[in-house]
Amino acid sequence: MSHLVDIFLQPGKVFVDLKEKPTFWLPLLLVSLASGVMVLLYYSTVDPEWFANHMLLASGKDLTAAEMEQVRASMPGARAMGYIGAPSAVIVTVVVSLLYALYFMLAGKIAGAATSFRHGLSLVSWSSMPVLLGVVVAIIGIAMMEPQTGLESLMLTNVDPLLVQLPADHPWSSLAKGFSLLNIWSWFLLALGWRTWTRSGWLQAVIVAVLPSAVIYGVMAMFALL
Amino acid sequence: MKFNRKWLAGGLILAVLVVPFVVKQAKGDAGVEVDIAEAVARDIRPTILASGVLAYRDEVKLTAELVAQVSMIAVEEGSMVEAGELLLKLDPETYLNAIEREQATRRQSVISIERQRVALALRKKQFERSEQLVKLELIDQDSFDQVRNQLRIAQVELKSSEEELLRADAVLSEAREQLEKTEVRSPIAGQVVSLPIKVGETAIPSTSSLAGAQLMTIADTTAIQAELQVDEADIAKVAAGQQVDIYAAAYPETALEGVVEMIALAPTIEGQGRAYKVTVDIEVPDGIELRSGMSARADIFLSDGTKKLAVPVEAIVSDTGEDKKVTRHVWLQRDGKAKKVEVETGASDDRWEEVTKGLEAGDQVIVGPARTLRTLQDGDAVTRAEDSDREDTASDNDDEDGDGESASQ
Repeated sequence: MSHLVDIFLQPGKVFVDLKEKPTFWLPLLLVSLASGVMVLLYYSTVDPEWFANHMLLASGKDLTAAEMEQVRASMPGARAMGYIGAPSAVIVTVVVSLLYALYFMLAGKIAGAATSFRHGLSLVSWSSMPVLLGVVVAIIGIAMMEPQTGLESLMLTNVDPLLVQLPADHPWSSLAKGFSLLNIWSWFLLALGWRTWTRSGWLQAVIVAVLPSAVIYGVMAMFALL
Repeated sequence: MKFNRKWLAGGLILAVLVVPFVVKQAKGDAGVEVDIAEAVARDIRPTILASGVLAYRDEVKLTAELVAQVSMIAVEEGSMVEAGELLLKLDPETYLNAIEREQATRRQSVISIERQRVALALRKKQFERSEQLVKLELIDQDSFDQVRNQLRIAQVELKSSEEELLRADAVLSEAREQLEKTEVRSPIAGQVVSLPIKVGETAIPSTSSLAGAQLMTIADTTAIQAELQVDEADIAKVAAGQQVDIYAAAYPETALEGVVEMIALAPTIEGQGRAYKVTVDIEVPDGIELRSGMSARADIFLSDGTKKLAVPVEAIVSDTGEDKKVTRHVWLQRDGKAKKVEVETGASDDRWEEVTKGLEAGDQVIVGPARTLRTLQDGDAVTRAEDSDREDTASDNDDEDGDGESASQ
């Protein structure tokens, strides 16, 4: 439990401990459940009619009023979205963590370090603790928001809306809305953990830590440029 | 050291939790930037497009009334002439001969009357004598009847001769009139703008474009008008007194101001379409040389001059409902939020559209950008773009006080 505090205060010590006893349940549960709670809270607070219009406009399709009505009728309501979205958020968080763990296991094999899947999952789970702060910020935002507010504008640790506010059809909008500044903190923790466990240099640690994100955001940037 | 790291990390966590809200608060709920215009009373000037030609206001085409050779032309093309001034002479010989002939006929009629009067006087005396003789029974009744009959015949013959004289007078007068027509005089004061006939050519009375049918064209070149053809679909909107901007082909960039003066009651048929001739009086500014026959296009302004509550046309957004009914709305900026308001619209021109219901003067209407107008939702935060200065650019035809009356409900 003390790791929950130490991961922010003295992460090096946490990773030294985790090398011997790689745990992951607590941070993984916290992050995934917080994400689920955030989604559930948002959908139970937002104005359902406004949200339906917001989603239709965000789809970017030029629909006639009749078509919009048809699509709206076939869309699940905001409350239903909450009930679907909350467990989905939990599942997605877990699945993504598992994929990352797989990645670190493979990276360990390539780098010649003995990194098990459990180690990978532990590294990912604990390194994503800063993300929990972002989720907390969003939950506070939801508690304070007006009903006609988009979820993306509540992710206050993301580039958009913290630093820029791009229109929905702006080419860089997806990247700006998807990139959290807390990722940098997470990358640092990943690199630190990797370095601690494999006794590699900082360069290798940073490359291994950032590579998956670099690929994901790189693809998004390419789409923006094209 | 440990203490310091704890505080540092704690501060970092606190910062992560607090800074986003501080930044958000500092930036304010900026919302999307929009261009805003104020709804005020404006002079909306819807127009009708028409084309036509320019023509001098008073223009007369002189044609001959007689068949005769042109013996003399007193003017040249471009000459200024006064009303009644001699322009052209036709050969009068034929008509002088006709006058002499008719004068002789008249003289014969006068002589004939004198002869009839003498004969009538004789018949009267014979009748009076026969009357006395028949009373004395010196002649029989049959002889008396014959004398009386001859008197009546003489009276009728005299009357016939008198009528013959009147007829001769009329014919003579007509011949003199024909002679007068050999001298062509200007019916108006103006300028000779066309002179197709020459001395020695034979003038013929015809309205067709045969050689010799047209003598000359005289026009008052100080006043010019446009004769526009307005489509039958638009003619109901046109009324005398409406303002018109005329663009002559020779001055395509210069709007010549005019006023609708007359609207034809009967149409002219051109191919499949029907159009009505609309005559527009034009005020010609200095330095502009207009000529009759120039082609021109025109914008006829339908406004009656009253100011109406209006917004830029791009601010009006149309929706088609499930029942195909079209509704219109505008977005207002109220307290930093976008508010959708359904409106009813009236007249419009290429810049402004009248709002007859739904808005009040002074409402802050969002006019763009177009992309934002498509994606706005009720309650969205909006801010006025810094270069949003629509009122100033639009103030060329609205009054300063924007005294539009409320048009809502």
